Amino acid sequence: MIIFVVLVFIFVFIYEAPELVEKEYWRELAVFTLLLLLGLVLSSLLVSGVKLPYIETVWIELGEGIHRVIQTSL
Amino acid sequence: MDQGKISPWQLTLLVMSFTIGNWIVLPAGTEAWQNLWLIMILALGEGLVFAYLSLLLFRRFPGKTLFEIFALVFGSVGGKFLSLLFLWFFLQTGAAALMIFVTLLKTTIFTATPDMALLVPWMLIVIYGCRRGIEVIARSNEPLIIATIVLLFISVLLVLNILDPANLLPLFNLPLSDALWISVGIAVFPFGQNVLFLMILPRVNRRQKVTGAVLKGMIGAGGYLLLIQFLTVGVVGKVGEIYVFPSYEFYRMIDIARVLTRLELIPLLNFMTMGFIKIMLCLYALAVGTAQVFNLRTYRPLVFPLGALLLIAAFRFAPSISQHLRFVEEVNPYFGLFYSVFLPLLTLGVALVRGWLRRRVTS
Amino acid sequence: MGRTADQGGRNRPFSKGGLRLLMILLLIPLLGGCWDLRELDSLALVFGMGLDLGPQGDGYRLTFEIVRARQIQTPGPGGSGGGGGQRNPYWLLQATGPTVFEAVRNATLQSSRRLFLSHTQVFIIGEELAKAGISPALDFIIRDHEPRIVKWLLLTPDEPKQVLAVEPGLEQITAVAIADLIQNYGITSKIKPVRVVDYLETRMHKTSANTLPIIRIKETAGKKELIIDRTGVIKGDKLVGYLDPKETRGLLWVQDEVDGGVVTVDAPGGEGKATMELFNADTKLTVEGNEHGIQVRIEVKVRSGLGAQTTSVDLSTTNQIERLEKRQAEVIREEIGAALTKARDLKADIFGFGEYLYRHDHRRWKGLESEWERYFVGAEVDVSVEVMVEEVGLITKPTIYRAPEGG
Repeated sequence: MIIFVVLVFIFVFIYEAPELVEKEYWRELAVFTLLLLLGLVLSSLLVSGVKLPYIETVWIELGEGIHRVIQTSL
Repeated sequence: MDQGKISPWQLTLLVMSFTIGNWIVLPAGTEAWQNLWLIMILALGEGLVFAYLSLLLFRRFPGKTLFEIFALVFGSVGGKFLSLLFLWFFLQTGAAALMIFVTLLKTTIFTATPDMALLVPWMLIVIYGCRRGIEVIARSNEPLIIATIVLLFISVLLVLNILDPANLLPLFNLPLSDALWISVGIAVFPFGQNVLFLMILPRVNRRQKVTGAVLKGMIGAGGYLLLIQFLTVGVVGKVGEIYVFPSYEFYRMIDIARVLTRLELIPLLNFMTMGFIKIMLCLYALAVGTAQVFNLRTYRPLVFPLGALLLIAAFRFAPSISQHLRFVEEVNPYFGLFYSVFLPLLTLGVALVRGWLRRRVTS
Repeated sequence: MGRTADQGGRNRPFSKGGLRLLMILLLIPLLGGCWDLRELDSLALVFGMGLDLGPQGDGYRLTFEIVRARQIQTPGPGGSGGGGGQRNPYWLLQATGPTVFEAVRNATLQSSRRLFLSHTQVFIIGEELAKAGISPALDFIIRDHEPRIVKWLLLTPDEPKQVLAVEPGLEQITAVAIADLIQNYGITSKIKPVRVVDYLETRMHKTSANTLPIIRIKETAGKKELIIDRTGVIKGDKLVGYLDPKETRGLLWVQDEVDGGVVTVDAPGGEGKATMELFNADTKLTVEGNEHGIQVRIEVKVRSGLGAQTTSVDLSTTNQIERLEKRQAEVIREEIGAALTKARDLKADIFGFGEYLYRHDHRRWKGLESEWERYFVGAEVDVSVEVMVEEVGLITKPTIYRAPEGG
């Protein structure tokens, strides 16, 4: 499965990169590659079963703290 | 950057689709149930006020996107910091919407399908639309939102025989503080999320009409959601309080002469189109915003990687739908208030102060 | 920027046409929608479902009435369908499990096809199960997306399997016959039709008690027929009592659900009866409360006509009509009274007085809610019935022969 993910990301890179290189859009290429790598890493982690944290859970715990503070101070 | 132009009318329609977005599937504030439509009127008012504040920002800095305004008001570093905060907002809004739609599909039709099989095609379409630019998104939206509105009118006719006005009572059996809190929650979601449009407003071809267009879109969407909620309560009654997707159930109950039944697929498809538009706009704002943070000349190559990130975020958004409902009820109001009210107000305030200071210096 | 992409990919590794072809090829398998594929002939269409307690008194035993599509006879030139070697158009399957959901899945241990529940027309609950509590059985029906909650719910004192096994009179499938039976309730208005969602709605009102129609098997001369002639009263989720047809109609009067029917009265001025047909009935219910209790006003307005008479007296005169109206109102009042008495006996608010108060005077309801049974039983009820006889059919004087006096 990971191979599939990696292939997809490589495909996208091949699709976009040459045009950026030709236009000499170096910054764009850099950001693009950076984000792509980030996506690749996270996707690979996901696909191999790593349990990335749930976004809402983080917020809920934060939010509950704030909620409590406000309720008690009212 | 994207040189496409959209008309004020297209803006209005985009605002409508965006606001209807995923709220229509999973509303906030269902604890109030039969009082909800009344509370929504209040929330719409609050939302309009919030929107007007943000629009003042645009008026003061015409033709600039939100991030450009941040840079002007808070300087390069401060501006980038706030921009990053907002990038997270766009990501989270889009991921939430995506998660909700996929959950809807999974619960109702595709019970055995793995999440990814639904998420990936969805995102592919979103990415494709996004890369084409705001003009394309706006043009695609026009028939979709019209269809949604027509569906609403047809729905009214379809439910006349099963609507029981008694279900709409009792009203006002909520303590006022609860009602106010819920109204704030709705003012923030879905109305407050329109702060995203500050990234898109520069693309409108007639600048003076922007404020009116956005407000009209919000009022239109508000009316639509209100009516749907009203009908849902009237048809489904008290049982609706326990439903995860009340408006879906509402359509399941339509039965005309035993022939027109099982119509729920049509609104299902229709609501999905609203989801598409909303998520496309989120990704668009995310891509354009990222490009502005890094001072890039084009946003298009970023769409795909950011889309992948959006997908991952949606995949790991919440462990279960009940967790999400809790989030919407308890945490989201603060979250939304921060982004939709506090930050724009802060920016406006600082901008005014700086302008005042500058005038003092030069006088 | 939005336009340049259209000018082909001079600088891209794939030509524009090639990429599109690739995308199309990739999308085609996805569009087939194969993941949640359900072909029609791999499904067992369940038209009726019976629920009862499991064999050891725990868990559930379910009965499914599954349609054999090929055996459905269309009315052909050969007269009534079905020769000797024909199979039944339906198939009954039973399965057990600790929850309804598991029982449904266990059914596929015996069925070559997956059970499909979206067409289930009726849910029949055995009284044993009803006495133990209905809601746990219903949870699956509401929670799962296949069964539709706008379908009918009934009780039966007999075994649900036996009920679904009764050969339907006019229809092909028993479940359909039962569904039609309920839908025609307006012909007598002595049956209370209840859909799953209606049951739920009432259940969610804390003070209300539910009522469900009861279907049973009647044997006449060895032949089995189905009949609905009682209504069950369910308090707090358990079956606690019954309403006979008269009381059931009383209930329907109060709930403004009378949709037709006949009322037979003693003919004024003679022996014999007159049967009045109900054309239209409207009930206005008002509930008011104060700290001491509740006051209920029930106003019934009926429009009816003379349908048949067995007396030789001419009932079409104004005088007689007035008396007919009065007697009819009497009967209706009796029916309502009977329902009230039974409800008070069972201490069950089947009429929704509480519901009314909840909606219209919420604060008062909250105050009385905790002792609702007491208030309900002690409620002052004022019933007024107004009947208008509008017509007498096609003839005025009856043709019934009256023996001459002293003959």
